[in-house]
Amino acid sequence: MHNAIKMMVLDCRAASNRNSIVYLFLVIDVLAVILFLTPVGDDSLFISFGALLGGTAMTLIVPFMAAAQRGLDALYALLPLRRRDIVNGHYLFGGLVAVSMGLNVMLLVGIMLLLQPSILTPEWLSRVIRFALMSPAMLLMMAAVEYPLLLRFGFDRAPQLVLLPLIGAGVGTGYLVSTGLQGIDLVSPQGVLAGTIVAVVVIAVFVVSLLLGRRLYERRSL
Amino acid sequence: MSMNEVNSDVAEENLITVTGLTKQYPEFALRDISFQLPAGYIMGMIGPNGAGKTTTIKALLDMVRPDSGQLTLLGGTTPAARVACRDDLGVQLDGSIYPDTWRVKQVAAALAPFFPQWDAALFADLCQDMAIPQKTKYKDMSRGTQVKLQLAAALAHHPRLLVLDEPTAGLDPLARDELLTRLQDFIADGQHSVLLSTHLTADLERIADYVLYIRDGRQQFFGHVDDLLGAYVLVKGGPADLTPALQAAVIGLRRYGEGFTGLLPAAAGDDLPATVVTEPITLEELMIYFGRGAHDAQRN
Repeated sequence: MHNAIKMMVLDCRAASNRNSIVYLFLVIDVLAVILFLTPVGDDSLFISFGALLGGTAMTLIVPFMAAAQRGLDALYALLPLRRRDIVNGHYLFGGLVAVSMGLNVMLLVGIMLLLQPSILTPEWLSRVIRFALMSPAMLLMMAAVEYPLLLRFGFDRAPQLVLLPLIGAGVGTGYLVSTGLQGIDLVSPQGVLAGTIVAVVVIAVFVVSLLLGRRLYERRSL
Repeated sequence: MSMNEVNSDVAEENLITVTGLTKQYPEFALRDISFQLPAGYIMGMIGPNGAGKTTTIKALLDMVRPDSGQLTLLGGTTPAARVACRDDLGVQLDGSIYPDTWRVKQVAAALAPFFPQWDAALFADLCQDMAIPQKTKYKDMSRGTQVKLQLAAALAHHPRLLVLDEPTAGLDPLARDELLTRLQDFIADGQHSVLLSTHLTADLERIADYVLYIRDGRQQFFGHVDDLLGAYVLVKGGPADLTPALQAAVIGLRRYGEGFTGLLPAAAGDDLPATVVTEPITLEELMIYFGRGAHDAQRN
């Protein structure tokens, strides 16, 4: 686990991601808050959600793009890391990006509540929770579909192969989660159960993808 | 001495042992590569572009999986064991391995956590000695400076073994001379070794103890540099001197108006007519004539 964390940090450094994702969130958050103070009101949260999701989805594959452009897989091979540590690190990076997106949505909600506490209604809260749950789920599913392909082929060999399933996995998960939770009050016990089921399914798929990614990267020539 | 045999009286610990390494690609095959590198020596790997030098290095580093053969690196005989001894291994690869935006500081920050023996002061000294600019991004560095940065990082964690792929590429003569001196210092205590692949055979003649010559994925020879250079002579003579027997014995025969040149096993040089001149060979000539010989054999 220690090696996987070091590898995740290296992914962040390699992609200059630690800065770029922070800047991305910052810019979108500021725009969302400015829009919130205009007649657009609390719909700005849901508008910004789309922008956040698109930007964060691209961030998921930035380490693989950087690896393809600069031969970073060779660098990883020189480090005292087993190949499975490298794969674990990439998946940790994906998980971190997904969680960061969820936390940023919560931060944005908190700012809006501070600015205008009256927006807090049960219906609004349920809607916000749906989005907050959906965003990490979509990102984790995107990573789960994409990472094995990237680990097997590399971004340089198959960019289209990578981008199309990325979008498909995101949209598909968003649709399934959204329709699956339709009409369910997410603040109720039934809602908590539904949310838990979604989380368990997504995490299970992510873990299966991790195991597949390990096997594929183990066999790859660098 | 056999062309594929190293002095058998050496009792030193081998930091690298490769036996029967084979790797098949759709358009290229590396076949039956075998060599050893004892502690305290420098070994050069030579051969034309695409000969299989980099593939051999990649196999040693477990970047490719061999189809067959045994690899022992710093005592490690399995991929997991070889990864475990990475702290004792410094590597410089031919090509870029750092992100474009990294500077010297980022390279140190990124690599230090992985190597328990990382010596930040040594890395800073090496960067200063090699005149690596601190604030220049990796992508803006010259090819030679990129190589130097990789070398500084490779040396900064006090490895026992250095594996260098074309380390002199892009270096000016002064920097090349400094590098060769540094490598000689590195092995001086008899505990460290260097494996380097290069096109510059003059550099190897100066510092290498052993040489491995690969061509078209096949090992042409492996042995001590002095033994190899002593085992062959360059022969030159007029057209009338080229008897059928001599023609059959000469490796990489080159004919021209005034006569011929070629390579001959040193033992065979004793029976030549007085009009045939024999001269000592250089590593570069050895490589060229062996290459020419293989080429002629293919044509015939």
